[in-house]
Parts: sequence; structure tokens; C-alpha cells
Amino acid sequence: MTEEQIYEKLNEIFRDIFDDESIEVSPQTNSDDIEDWDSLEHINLVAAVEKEFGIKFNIAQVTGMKDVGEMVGIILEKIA
Amino acid sequence: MQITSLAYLALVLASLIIYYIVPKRIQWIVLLASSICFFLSNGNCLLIIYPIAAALLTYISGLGMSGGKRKKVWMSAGIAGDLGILIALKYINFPINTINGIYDGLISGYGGDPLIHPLSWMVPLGISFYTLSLIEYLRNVYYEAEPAETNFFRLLLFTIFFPCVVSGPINRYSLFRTQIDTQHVLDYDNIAFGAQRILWGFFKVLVISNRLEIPVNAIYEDTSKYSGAYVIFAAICFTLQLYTNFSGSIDVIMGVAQCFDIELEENFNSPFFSRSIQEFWRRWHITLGTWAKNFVFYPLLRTDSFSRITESLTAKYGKKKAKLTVNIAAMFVLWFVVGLWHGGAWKYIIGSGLLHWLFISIEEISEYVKKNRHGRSHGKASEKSGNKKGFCYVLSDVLRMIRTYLLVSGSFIFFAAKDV
Repeated sequence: MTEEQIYEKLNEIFRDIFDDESIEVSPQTNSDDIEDWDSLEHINLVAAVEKEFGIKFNIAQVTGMKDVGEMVGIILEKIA
Repeated sequence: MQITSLAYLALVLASLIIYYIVPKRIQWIVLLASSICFFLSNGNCLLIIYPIAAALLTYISGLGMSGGKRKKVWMSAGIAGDLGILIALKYINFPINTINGIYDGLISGYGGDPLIHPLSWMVPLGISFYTLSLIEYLRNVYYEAEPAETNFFRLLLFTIFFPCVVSGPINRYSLFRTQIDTQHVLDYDNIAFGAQRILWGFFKVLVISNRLEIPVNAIYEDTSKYSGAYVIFAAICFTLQLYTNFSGSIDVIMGVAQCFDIELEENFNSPFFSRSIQEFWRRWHITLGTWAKNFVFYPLLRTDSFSRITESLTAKYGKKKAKLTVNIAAMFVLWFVVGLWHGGAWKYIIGSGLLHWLFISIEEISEYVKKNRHGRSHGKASEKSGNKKGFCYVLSDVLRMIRTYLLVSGSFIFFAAKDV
């Protein structure tokens, strides 16, 4: 799976989780850019990403990822 | 040794001179020696055994994990050991006092002999801070987010690093280790700005906090004489007293660390400009809030039980109501732990824990109602755009800040109380 395909899938997940069809994620997108991205929604987001890509983030990754770019980096590493 | 004392300044000055004279590769040893001197000058010297034991246990567990076998066992042993020391020393009397309180109130009548005699153990300096830091280190080594430390004395320095062992901030080894590896040269700006911050901290603690302490103590110590408006005045002053004392100490700590060219994480960000209790806790004791979120809130929400509850509530009541309910339930645990961290007594659990949980839950519920009524115009985005609004909105923000201050002051009445 290419990085571009991952971003496409992430866009769908973000739109579904945050109920906002206008979301377009980029590597720099972080919790400051999306109104409803709080601690609980972060966990829901992580769970949805795990389900979609068939991977499991560890808790250090869950708490450590600063933006979508870091999330994509971990996804690429795990599905490689 | 108080960090606002001349003796402390003398220790800092002597350490600084030696620190910048010795070869750069052994600068960290000067910091370790100063930290040991500081620790030994604070009460019973034997208490240093506890941080040494915690550092040694953490060091061995870290090395065990780096071996690659039985990583989970090593991590669990390390965390259980560190937490075990903390619980044994700081919290052993909490259940005893609770049982005695119930017995005293319900069975023996007030003022009778306690059912179980509390234990009087001495607690080492900074145990609540360094235990959390060591747990974070162990978790990071387990998940290979950082390598295990191979030099015990460097981990010991991290455990008792003298600027922040008294009042925090809760330090991270991942940030600290790179700084003790760096060779530090004497820099005018670091010394000048560090000294300014130390002076500012001294001013906050000695001039503001210590002055406020006089009327606050007088009122709280004799509530039969002072009541009504006096108590409200004391509650409002106590919040400011606590803030200037804690943030002033943090200023001294940050200033001292800056003189040594060591950067620590900020612990305060103008908390009284918060428009909600939630925002207040993003600005007050920031490192504790971050730790609790990462080590209590997130792991709790990642448990299978919470995932199942979320799924079942979502199916029954929809996503938004499920989110609200789960959030409030998980926050209860989070705030209980935050309250307990402040001390093993109900006054801490209520005053700096559960009352804040209650306020935040009410905020969350009213936010949910507002959103349903007015669409998506509220929340984080509207919180941030205060400076773009007109006079009415500015006034509304100011009123919300005053409300936050009063709510915090109300909860800190428990914190300041002798007992609950």
C-alpha cells in the first residue's frame, strides 16, 4: 500500500469519526486543527485505524503521535 | 533546605562554579553530587535509601528488558516495585484513617481511640514526582521508545536531580538523557535569564505567597471566630497563595536548571486565564495532567471492557451520547488518581480530584446540550478565537475566567482543610 492510499483511507476514517465531510488530512494535521479531536476521540480514531489496517498500536505510540504524519509513519512500518 | 533559602542559593552557586570548571564529560557527576548534597540536607539522611532503591530497581528492570526476554515480567516488576515503595510510604495510612473515620463517626462516637493506629513512616523528598518519572522511563524502554540506561548513576541523577526533586515538573528521561550527554558551556544568556527567573520565583513565594499565608492560616485555624465572608476571602486568597507558592517554586527550579543549561518542561501557563476547568488543567501542573492522561486515561480507554461498553452504548444511544458517558466514566478514574496523587487523604481526593471531575462533567454535559441546540459553533475552536470577538464576547470570557477561579477556590477549600 502506498503512502497516498493510506492518506485516502485516513481521510475516510477522519470524516467518519469526526462527522465532517470537509476534512482533508495532511502530514501536519494535528488535534489543534480538528475541533472534536480530544482525548476520547483520539482513542476512537486509533481503534478505527487499527481495524482498517489490521494493525495494533502500542500505548507509547498512541500517546506519542503528534500529528497525522507520525501516524502514517507507524502504519507504514507496521504493514511493511 | 528550602529552595527559597540562602543555603540553597549557595549550593546552586558552588555547583555552578564547579560545573563550568570541570571537564565537560563529567559535568553530570557534579549535578549528581549536588543532588545528593541537597537530598541529604533535607531531613533524615537515611531516606536517600528509597530513591536509590527505586533507581536501582528501575535500572535493573530496564537492563532486563533490553535483554529481550520476559520483557513484560521485567517491566511489571519494575513498576510494581516503584509503585510499591510509593504506596507503602505515602498511602499506607489512607485506608487506616478511612476505617478509623468510619468507626469513629458511626460506632465509637467522636473522639474515641482509633480502631487501628496509623503508622508514622517518614516519606522521602520528591517520591511522588520521581516515581511517575521512573514509570514513564520503564514503559518507554518496554516499547523500545528509548534505550535502557546502562549507567546506574545517570539514572540516579535523573531520580534525584536537585532542581526538580522538590516540586517537579515531572521529568522525562528521554529529554533528560540527551541533555546530560551534551557538553555545556558557560553562556551569559542562560545565567542572566536563569537568575531573573529565580528572582521572580523568590518574589512570588516570599513576597506574595508567604504574605497571603498569614490571613489564610488565621482564618482557617479559627473558623469559630471567622466565618461567612472571612471564609470566602480565605478561600480566594488560598488559591492565589497556592499558585504563587507552586509556580514560584517552579520558576526557581526552571531558573536553576537554565543556569546549568538544562531545559525542563513548563508546568504552568497562566492558569487563571482559563475559561473552563478543563482549560485550567491544561494550564496548571501541566506535566501531571499529561502523565495522568498518558498513563491512566488512555490505557483505561484502551481496555477491552471500555471498548465493549463504548460499542454497546453507541449501538443503544448513538455515538455522541456514548462518547459523553464513556468520557465521564473514564474521567472519574482519572480524577480519583490525580486527587490521590496529591496525598493519601479524602481532602485531596475531593479537593484536587473529584470536585474537578464533577465540574468538568457538568461542562461536558452543557457543551453537549449547546452543540445539539446551536450546531458546531462551540468547543475548542471557539475557545481559541476569543481575541477575534467583540466586547460582549470579551466580557463573557472574563466572566468565565472569574467563574473558573471561584470554582477552583471552592474546591481548594477541601485541599486546605485539616481533614474531611
